[in-house]
Formats: sequence, structure tokens, C-alpha cells
Amino acid sequence: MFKFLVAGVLVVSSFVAVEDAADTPVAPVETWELDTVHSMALFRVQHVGAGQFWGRFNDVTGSVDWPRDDSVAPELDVSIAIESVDTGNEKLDRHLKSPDFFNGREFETATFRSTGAERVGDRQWRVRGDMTMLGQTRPVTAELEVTGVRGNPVQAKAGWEAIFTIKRSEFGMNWGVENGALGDEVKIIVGLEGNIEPGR
Amino acid sequence: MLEPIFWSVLLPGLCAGVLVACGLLPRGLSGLRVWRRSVIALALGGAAAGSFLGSVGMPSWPPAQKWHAVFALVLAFIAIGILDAWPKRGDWASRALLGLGAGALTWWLLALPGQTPMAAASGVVVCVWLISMLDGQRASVAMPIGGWAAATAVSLLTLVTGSTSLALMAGAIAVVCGVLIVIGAVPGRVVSGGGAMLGGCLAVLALAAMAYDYGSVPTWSWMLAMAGFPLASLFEIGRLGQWEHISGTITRSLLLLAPPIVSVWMNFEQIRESLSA
Repeated sequence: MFKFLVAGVLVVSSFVAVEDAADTPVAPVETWELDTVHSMALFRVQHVGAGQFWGRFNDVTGSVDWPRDDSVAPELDVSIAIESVDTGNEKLDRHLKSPDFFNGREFETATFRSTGAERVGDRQWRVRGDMTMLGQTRPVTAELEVTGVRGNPVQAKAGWEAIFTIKRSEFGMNWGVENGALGDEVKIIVGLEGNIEPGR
Repeated sequence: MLEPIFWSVLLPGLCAGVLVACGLLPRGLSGLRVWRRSVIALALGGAAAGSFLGSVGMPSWPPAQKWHAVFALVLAFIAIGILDAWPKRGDWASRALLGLGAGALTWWLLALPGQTPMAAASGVVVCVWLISMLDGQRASVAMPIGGWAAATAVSLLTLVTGSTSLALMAGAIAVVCGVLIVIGAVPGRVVSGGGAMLGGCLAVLALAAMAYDYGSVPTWSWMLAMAGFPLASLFEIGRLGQWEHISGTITRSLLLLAPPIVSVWMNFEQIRESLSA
């Protein structure tokens, strides 16, 4: 009778153990190398207090550490090449690369590195991190959405979209702020696609 | 673009213009050599510094960005410009010392990307010395005319590179030179001076614009923008240097005007596009 009782307790506790295991991450955290072709950063700033002016950076590199089941927040390490700025107007691009704005000769990249995150919804995170621009590092937050994941254990792609709102004057980019020629608040939308390649 | 032009070209340029008008228009004042040359140096430097404050604001120290050191250099050049008021005509040794002083300051303060401090300092030494020498040769309206042409050309070429703040600084210097030309038209008013200040400022602005350029303006265009001064210096050699009449002033002015005009003309299409962007 005692043996049956012990066996019963062991069986029940093994079921409990299986249920507990379901709450812990199943998928491992993987490092997704950013696909430079399908990753980009858009920015938006108000021009002379009127329209919203858009531009983009075409060269976005880095990686995202993230498990496919989204049980842990994506950890971003993203670098944007200033020289890749593209507004569709060569003169404007030149001005944006100049010391008045991004100063691409001195500061070749702008970077963002995650320091923490909290879940705000299904596949949605509020990511905290450090943004470095013009040599100044400031803490910023981004609203991040996991836009999709597709593939198999050896070859896969995943996507994220992060939206930042920053004040450029906090980084020392003051051109046009005082006289209202260009807004201080800049919205940055970073579209990222990461790869897990075979053999990695 | 109108707001930055107002705050960083017209306002500092015209404030400095009021300073030179108050300093030179009252009868007899412009004849006081050291006073006149000091006031003009102060006005040129004040306009450039005011322009920087208007577009960038007060820079931190040490500068957060390398080119912000241009502001500190302009302030230092005001002192050089005021010292430049004392050497007499033909005193090349004192002016060479001032040039070396300006070069040493540039070497110490300005570390631009892609340029060695020694190369930048050498450019400043040559410009300060040469333009100060030329300016000290005679009291003539030719010098403000040459300064206006060179500053305008440097401003427009800098605009093409995209460094608008630097372009506006050169624009403010051009406005002061324009005011000097107008004052020079008043009978009995002398408007020469500020050669070292002008040389130092224009050299530093052109060097900074070149450092941050992405290959949009060829080097020869910058050299041509400043080439009026060495060209006019040739006119000071031998008997030509004794040609003092109005025809001499006109010839000197044309020599100072021609190279910057050619430089602008050769880059006209790019300048036009930059102004419209």
C-alpha cells in the first residue's frame, strides 16, 4: 500500500514538473545578424513648422538577440552609417552629412544598444537602451514590435520594427532649432530583418 | 533658409557694421590708424563669432565637435587682428610673427578630420601674413572690396559643401566688408584694416569646409577664391607699388575681384542648386 502511495506521488509530481517546464523559455535565444538589404531607418522631422520631412538611412547593420517564441525581449545592437543618408535630394543629403547635422566626417555611425525591456502586448515591447549620436550617449526608449518570424531551425528570418522619438538638441544637433527652421523632435522608425544562416 | 540668413548673416553683419560706422564715420576717427584697424578687426571677428552663436549657439569647452573650435579661434584672431593694427607699412617681420601666432593657435585648437594640424596651421600662417602685408601697404578701398569678394566666394563654396553654419559665418564677414565699402565711399573716410583677421578667418572657414566636404568642391576652387590677395600682392612689387591714383585702386580692386568671381563662376551650377535646396 505504501509503495503504491509513493508511486502515485512521484507520478503526480512529474506532471507538475512538466507543467512548470512549459512556463520557462522553450526556444533558445539566438543571435540574428541584420540583413543590410532589408533593414533601414526612416526619420521624420518638421520643416519650418509646417510639413513633416522624411529621410532614410540605407546602411543599417548589427544584430538582435532573441528567441523565436518571443519569451524574452529582443536585444538590439544596431549601427547606422551616417554616410548612407538618403532624402532623394543630393544637396540635402550633403547638408545632413555636414557638421550642421550628423557630422559624418567625425562621427561615422549612430548606434543603439538595448539595456532592458518590458512587454507591453503580444509581440510588443518597450525597449530601453543607449543611443549614441554625435559622440553623445543618451538613454532612450523605443516601442518595438516583432513583425514576424519564418523558417526552420537552421535557416530563418525574423523582423522587428522599432519607433524612437528623440530630441536632437539633446545630442548637440542644434541647427534650426532656435529659429524654428527645423523641429527638435525627430521620429525614427527602424525596420530590421535578421537572418539565421545555415552553418552558423 | 531666410531665418538662418537673418540671424546668422544679416544681424551679426549689420551689428558689426554699426560698430564700424560709429568707429569710422565721425570726422577724423578713420584717420587714426591704430584705432581704425582695431575697430575693423573687432567688427570682422565679432560678425563671425556672432554668426556662429546665431546658428550653433555657445559651444562647450573642450568642443563637443572638432569644428566648434572655429569659434574659439575667431575670438583668438580678434586679439591677433588688434595687434595687427600696430605694425607700420612694410613691417613684414612683425606681421610674420602675427602669422606664426595665428598658425600656432590653429595648430593647438583646430584638429579637423582628414587634415594634419600642421597643414592647417601652415595655411593660416600664409593667409594671415600675406593679407596683413597687403592690407598694410596702403589705405585704400581695394582691400574691403577684395575681402568682400573672397568672403562671398568662400561663403558660396562652403554652402555647396553643405556646411551651412560655416557658410553663414563667411557671409557675415562679407556683410561687414560691404559696409566698409559703403563707408569708404564717404569723402575723407579711410577703410583699410583687419587684414590679419580677414586672412585668419577666411583660411579657417575654408579649411573647415574642405575637411567636412564629400568631394563636391575641388581644391583649386578654394585656392582661386583666395587668389586675389597674392595676385594683388604682385602689384606691390617694384614701381607698380607706387601707383597710388584712382586707376591704381581700380586695378588693384579688379585683381582682388577677378579670382573669386572666376571661382564662383566655375561652380555656379552647384551654387545655384545649393541656394535653391
